[in-house]
Amino acid sequence: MKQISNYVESKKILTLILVAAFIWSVMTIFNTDQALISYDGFSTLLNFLWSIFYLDITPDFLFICFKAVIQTILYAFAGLSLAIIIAIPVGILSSGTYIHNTYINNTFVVVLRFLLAATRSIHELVWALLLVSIIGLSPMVAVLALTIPYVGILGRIFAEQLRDVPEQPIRALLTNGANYPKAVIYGRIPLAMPNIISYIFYRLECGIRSAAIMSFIGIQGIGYQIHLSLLDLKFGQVWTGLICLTIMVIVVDLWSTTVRKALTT
Amino acid sequence: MNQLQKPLTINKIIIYISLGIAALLSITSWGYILFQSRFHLSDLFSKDTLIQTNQLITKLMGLDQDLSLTSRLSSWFDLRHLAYETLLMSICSIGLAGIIALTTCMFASRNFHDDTLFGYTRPALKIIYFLIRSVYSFTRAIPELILAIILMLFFTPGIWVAAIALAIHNTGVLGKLYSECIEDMEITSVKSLQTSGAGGGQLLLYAILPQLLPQFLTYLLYRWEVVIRTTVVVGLVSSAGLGREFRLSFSYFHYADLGLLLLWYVLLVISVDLTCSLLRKLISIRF
Amino acid sequence: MSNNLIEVDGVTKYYGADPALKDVSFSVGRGEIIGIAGPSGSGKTTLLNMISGLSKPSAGSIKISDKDIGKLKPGKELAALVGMIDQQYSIVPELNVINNVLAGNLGNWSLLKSLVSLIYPLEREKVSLMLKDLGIEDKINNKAAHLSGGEQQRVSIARLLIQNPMVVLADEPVSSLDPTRAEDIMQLIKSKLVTENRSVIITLHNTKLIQNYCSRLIGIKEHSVVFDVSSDHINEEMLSELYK
Repeated sequence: MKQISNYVESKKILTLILVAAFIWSVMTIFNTDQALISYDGFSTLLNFLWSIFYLDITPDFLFICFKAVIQTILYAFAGLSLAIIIAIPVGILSSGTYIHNTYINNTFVVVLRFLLAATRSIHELVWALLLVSIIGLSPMVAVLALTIPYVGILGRIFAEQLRDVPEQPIRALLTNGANYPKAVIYGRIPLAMPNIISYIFYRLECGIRSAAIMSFIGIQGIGYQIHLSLLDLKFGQVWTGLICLTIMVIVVDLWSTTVRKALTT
Repeated sequence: MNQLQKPLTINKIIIYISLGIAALLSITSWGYILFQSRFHLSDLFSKDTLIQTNQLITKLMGLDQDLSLTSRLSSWFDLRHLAYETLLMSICSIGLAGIIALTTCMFASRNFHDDTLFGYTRPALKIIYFLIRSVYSFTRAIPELILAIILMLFFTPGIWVAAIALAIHNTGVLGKLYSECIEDMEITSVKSLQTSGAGGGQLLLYAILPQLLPQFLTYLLYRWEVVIRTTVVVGLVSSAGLGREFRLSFSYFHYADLGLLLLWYVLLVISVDLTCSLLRKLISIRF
Repeated sequence: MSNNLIEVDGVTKYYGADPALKDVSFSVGRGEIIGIAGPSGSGKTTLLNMISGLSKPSAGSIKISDKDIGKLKPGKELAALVGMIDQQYSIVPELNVINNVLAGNLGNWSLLKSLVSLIYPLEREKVSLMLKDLGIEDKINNKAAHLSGGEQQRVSIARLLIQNPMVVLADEPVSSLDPTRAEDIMQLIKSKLVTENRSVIITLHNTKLIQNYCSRLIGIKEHSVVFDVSSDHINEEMLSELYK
C-alpha cells in the first residue's frame, strides 16, 4: 500500500516538474524585445499563403518536380538498401544469439550496441557535413549519410526482434542438435521476419523524408528544388514543390501501411 | 476452406509484389548512384579517404593545434549556454506539439464523427475531420528543415523559429498517432459513461484519457528523442542554438570548435535518451 | 399520464437487413424488478441498449415516465431517467474507485467541475458512506482495475446510486461471477437499487436467481417476446423451451 502511494506521490511531483520545465522553456524561448514577426514578415506571410492560388503547374515545372521526386526516392532506396545489408550481420551479432561463447559474445554485443547507438545519435545531415569534409561533394555522401544512422536504427531493431522471438521453437531446434548459429538462421530469422519487414517499411517513410532534406548539401531532390524556388521567392513554385513532397510522402506512407497490414493479418 | 484461403493469398501477393518493387527500386537506385558518381568512386575507396578521415578526426579533436587540455575544456564549457538553449528549444517544441495534438486528435479520429463512439453520426464533424487530417498529413510530410527556412521569411531570426518549426511538424506526427490510438481504443468505458450523462469533454477526461494517457506520453517521449536530434539541424538554418555555431564553425573550417560542439550534441542526445527511458519506466510502473 | 414507469411499444430494430428485435412490447410499473432471459443473440442486449438510449429503434417507441427515449440524446435528461450496468465494463479500469463512483454525477456537473474532481474528488464523504454500505469502503482510493469482479460491480452499483435514475438496466450483471458473489450482487441490487420509485430490468440466465429475485420474467427468443409472466408462474418447461 505504502509503495503505491509513494509512486502516486512521486508521479504527481514528476508531472509538476515536467509542466514547470515546459512553461520555463516557453518563457525563455519567446523572451525577446523584438517583435516575433519581422518588419515585413507579415506581408511576406500573407503573400506566401496567397500564392497557393498561383500554383505553378506548367508542364515544364511539373516535370522538374517529378524528376526531383524520383531522384529523392532513388537516393532513399540506395541509402536504405545499403543500410539493411549492413544492419543484418550487425544486428545478428549484436543480438547475442549467434555466438555461444559468452565472453566473445558479450564483447561483441557491448561494442556493437555502443557503435549502433553512436551512429543513431547523430542526425543524417551532420553525418553529411562530416562526410563532405572527407570525400568532398559526391552523390555517395548523401547515400552514406543516410546509411550510417539507419544502420544504427535498423541494427538495433533487428537485434531486438531476434531476441524477442518465442522461445519454444528455438529450444526445440537446439535440443534437436542445432548449434547456436543454425538456430538463428533456421529459427530466429524466419520467426522474426514479418516484424522486421514491417519495421523496414515503417522506416521507409522516414527515409524518404530524410532523403528530401539532403538537398542542403546540394544533392538533387525535391528538397533542393523547393529550396531553389524559395531563394527565388517564387512562392507558387514552392507550393507546387511542397505539394509534390506531401503526395510523395503520403503515397509511401499508404504503401507502407498496406504492406504492414498484410504482414500482420 | 476456399473462403479461408483467399484472403491469405491476397496478403501474400501484396507482400511479394512490394518486396519485388522495393528490390527493383534499390537496384535501379544503385545503378543511378553509381553512374552519377562514377568519377568519384575510385576516390572513395582509395587510401586518400582513410587519410582524410584521419585528418578530420584529428582536426575535430583539436590535436592539430597547440591547445592544452584545460583550454579545450574551458572552451567546451563556454558553449554550455548553447546546449541549454537547444535543450529548451526541444522541450518547448515537443510540449507545444503535444498540447495541440491532444486537443485536436479527437476530431481527427474516425469514430468520433461516425456512430461508433457516440451512437449517432455527427456529419458536421466530418468536415472538421478531413480538415484536421489534411493538416496533419501536410505538416508531417514537410521536413522540419524546409519548414524552418520558410518560416525564416516571416519571423525575426532567433531560437523561436526553430521551436515553432519543430512544433508544427511534430503536431502532425503526434496528432496522427494520437488519433489512431483513439480509433483503436476500447470504447466500452465510453459507452458506459454516456449512460451516466457524460458529454464530449467529460468523456475525454474520464474515459478516453485514463485509458490512452500512458500511450500518449510514450509517443511524446519517443518524439522528444527525435526532436533533440533535429533541433541542432534546424538550428543550422534558423541561426539558433548549437546549430548556428555548427554552421559558422563549418564555414570557417574551425574544426576544433566543431569537435566541441559535436561533443555537446552527443551529450544532449544521450541525456535525453536516458531521461526518456527513465520516464518510460515510471509510466509503466504508475499505470 | 400512465401508471407505468416504462412503456415499450412495438419496438423493432434492424441492422441493415438483419433483424435484432421484432415488435417487442411490454410495460413495467414502479418498484418492479424484471428479469429478461433468452439465448445469446436473441436481442436482449439490443433491447437494453435501446431502453438506455444508446441506440434508437427502427420502429416503435420506448417511453420512460411518459418521455420518449428515442427523442433524447445521451445527456443530463436521459441520465436522470435511465442508468445501466453490465457484465464487466461499466467502470473505467484506469480510474480510482472514487472517481468511478462520482462519474454518476457527470450528467449534472460542468466540465470544469468534472476536471477539478479528477484531481481533488468532491463529495468524498458521501461516496465513503455509500461504499461502506456496500462493504468496500476501504477500496475508495484504489484503482478500479485492482478490484475483484464482485467489488467492481459494487462500484457500478454505487455509481448508479449517485446517478439516481428512475430506471436501472443491468445486462447480465452476475454472469461472470461465482455463485456466492452472484447471490451477493443480486441481493444488493434488490435491496439498494429497487425503491418504490425506481425499477430494475435485469438480463440473466440463472433460473434460481430469476425465481428468487425477480417479480416477473420476460422471455425473448429469436428477437421476439415469447412469454411475460410473474415469477410464480415460471416452470422448468418454459425455460428449457426458451433455450432450445
